[in-house]
Amino acid sequence: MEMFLSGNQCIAHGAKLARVEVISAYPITPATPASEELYEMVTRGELDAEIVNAESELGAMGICTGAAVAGCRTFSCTCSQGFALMREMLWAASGMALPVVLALTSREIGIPQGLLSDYSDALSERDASYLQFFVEDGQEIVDSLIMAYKISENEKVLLPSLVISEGHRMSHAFETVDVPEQEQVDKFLPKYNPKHVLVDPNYPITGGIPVMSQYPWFKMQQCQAMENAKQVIKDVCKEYAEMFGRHYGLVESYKTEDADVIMVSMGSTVGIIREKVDEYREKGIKVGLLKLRVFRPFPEDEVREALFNARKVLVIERAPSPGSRYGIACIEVKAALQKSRAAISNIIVSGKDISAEDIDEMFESWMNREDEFVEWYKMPYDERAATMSGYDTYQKLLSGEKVERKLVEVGEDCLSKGCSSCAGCLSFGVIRKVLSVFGKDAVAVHNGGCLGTCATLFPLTAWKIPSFFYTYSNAGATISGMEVAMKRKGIDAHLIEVAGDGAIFDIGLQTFSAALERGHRIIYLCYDNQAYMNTGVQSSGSTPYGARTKTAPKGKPGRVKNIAQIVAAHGDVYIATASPAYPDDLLKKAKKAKSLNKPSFIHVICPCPPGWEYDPELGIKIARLGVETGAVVLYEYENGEVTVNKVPKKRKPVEEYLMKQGRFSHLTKAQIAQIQEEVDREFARLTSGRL
Amino acid sequence: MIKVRVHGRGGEGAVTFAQILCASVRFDGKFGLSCMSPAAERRGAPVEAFARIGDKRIAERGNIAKPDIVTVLNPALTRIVNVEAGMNEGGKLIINARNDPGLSHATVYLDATSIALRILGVPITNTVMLGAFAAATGLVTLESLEKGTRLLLSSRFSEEKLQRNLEAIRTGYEEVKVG
Repeated sequence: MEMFLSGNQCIAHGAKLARVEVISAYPITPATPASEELYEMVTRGELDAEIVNAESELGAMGICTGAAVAGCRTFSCTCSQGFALMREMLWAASGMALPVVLALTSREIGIPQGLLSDYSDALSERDASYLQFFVEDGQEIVDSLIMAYKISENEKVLLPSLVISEGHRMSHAFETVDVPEQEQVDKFLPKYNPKHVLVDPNYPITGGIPVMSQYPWFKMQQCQAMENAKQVIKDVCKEYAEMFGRHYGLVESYKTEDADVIMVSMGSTVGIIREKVDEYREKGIKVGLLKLRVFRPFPEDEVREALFNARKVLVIERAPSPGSRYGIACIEVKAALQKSRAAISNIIVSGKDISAEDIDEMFESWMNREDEFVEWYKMPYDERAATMSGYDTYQKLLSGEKVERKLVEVGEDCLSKGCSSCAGCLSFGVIRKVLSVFGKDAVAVHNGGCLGTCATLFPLTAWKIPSFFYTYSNAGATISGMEVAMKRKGIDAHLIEVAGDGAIFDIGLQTFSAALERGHRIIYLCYDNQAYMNTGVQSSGSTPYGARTKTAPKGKPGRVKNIAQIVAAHGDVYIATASPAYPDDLLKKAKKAKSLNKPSFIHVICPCPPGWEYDPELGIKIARLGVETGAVVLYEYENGEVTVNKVPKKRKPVEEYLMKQGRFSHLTKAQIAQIQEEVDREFARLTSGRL
Repeated sequence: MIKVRVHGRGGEGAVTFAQILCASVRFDGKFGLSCMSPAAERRGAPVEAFARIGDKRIAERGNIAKPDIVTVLNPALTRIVNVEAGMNEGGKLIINARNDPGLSHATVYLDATSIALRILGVPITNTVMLGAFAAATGLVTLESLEKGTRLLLSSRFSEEKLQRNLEAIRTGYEEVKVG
């Protein structure tokens, strides 16, 4: 059926048609809409699958691995940092011969955090024993996902697969796609019925067993399975073409038979080059194209056959391999072409969008040269960026010139005006307020979330104090390292971790907990929007019961983590809750944290206009209602005692607070009553002095 | 292939504009592919969306640096973004503005904000501007535009809201002065 779909929707449709049984994912741009679409499909009853909200990508991959061991067809989608964080479990899944299929909307790996697609995420796991399919459009995403299960689950293969598309260029591009009929896919792809893994109390087996000297023997088998996969891929592609009319293979050789010169590429650039080959051929140039579709197993024979007799070969590719002169694909092509007389050149385009004109330019410059060369395409030094980022001034400082820098005083704002947060964002006001207590003697550390996106984007930064951005899972670790080193170096400044609820409650909890246990003198400021807002509103560990998010279309069914109790379990920590509606109270708590020689945790519940679905001007009103209804309790906790700072004379019904927010608009009277009961219970406990 | 760049602010529907346009041209037998500039989920930020329209499947993707046609959904954007960047001489602009903004390329303008407020009750101008775009460029028929809009928005909008948006398209189509 012809449909108009984005790449992410193609991923969801592919997984749905493959009748995946267990799905687990974690929000990350630009892959998130694929899992959101799957949540929708499951909610609408179109897909009968268990979908598990993970706390991190490591968790998501772990869930998929466990589910595959227990005999289910499993699926996840991610990219970039998320894929990097999965690493340990990636190797576990391939080592245990589990045919998990992952869709990767490839994106650059930070740091620096980028949003473009350069395949560095996928190719840095080249040797993880995953079949790698690089696709060029939405159609190929759907087709490849369906085929990937059939190939991975083949008993001669039994290895996981990655279907790799490009972030934004494909994930967020809408195009016409022919989506196969379920009935036909069911005929093509039988139910997953593993014989090599078994969970059965009546027949106990041991899985994931350690080995000693036998490890190389296991590894050799993986390599053999990869070798076997080549024929299996060819067979499955043939069968797919017979049923669905679309032909794929290990590679696509386009007009290579008589070609004098051949371009080699992967992904979306292939489509442009194919059209260009036709155009150049009309001018009489004998040019061809080799599309590398399957990168693991690498089809050496097919590559050699297509390219061996060419006079010149140009590999246009995205991923560099720092330390090698060539890009990753070119290294492989060169290895396959030993003894060929072809002059092999390499252009690395990294994450850049490539237009038809770009291909013209590359082609022309290549045709005018007879030597073998390696080049990065159009990477000029950005003078404007150097000036704007202050690099020029820094150079002066290094050369001994006197450089004046205006430093913030106590009470002043540590962030410039005009940060690009959403209209009515309260989180930035909270961050400004808390940090104003410290003046210049503060170092801010943050990890993923709106703050990173809105306060800094190269070459500009809104920060007037030292600030460092690390990856998401590092809410506690990197800042601990800084604290230790700063002490040793005699740098006297307060360290403030500014983190959203995702970083504290979920993905960063492990490192946060370890930092609390060690007792570093760090102030943790959690601006808690009660969901993943930077990626477009998905449930977090802090999302309250009943709140609608994109991963809980009917409202969050489960429980909420009591983060204060978790923090308190680490011993001597100053804990305070705050609200943007009570700035004096917030300020008082920030000053208290500054005066203490121990870890502090300031937890601020920050309403978020797009995520909580309210008119931006109502933010403070809603925050105040939170406190007036008791849904948010302002308190301090020290030495085992809770002191509630604001006790409303008469608490308003929680319904008033809930009904101002679109995310709760679907709640039934019974659900509201249930929430009211929970609020009453929490309020009573806290006012009685217990956490 | 015709390349279209759409400027708007996050939340104003620039991305949806490009999606509807590309879905609609299919009903005229053409192919469309829409993309958007990588951005976080942030309201109010200047956003660019892109549409490529052609007689066969579109291979090229990503941002468009050299557009043939530029559409601007928010009148204030022409002051802070160079909406004409990369345009060739024969390029055309379709802009939401009360008066001629005095740009250097052929410009068609329409006070889409007033029409949107009148019909939709909110200053979201993408559907009005789609109508104006169809009239000014002839790249898509009004009939196909209505079909494409229904295809894309019927699952997101109520029938009543969808109808009002179809009316917005028709009004934009009729009221724009193509000279």
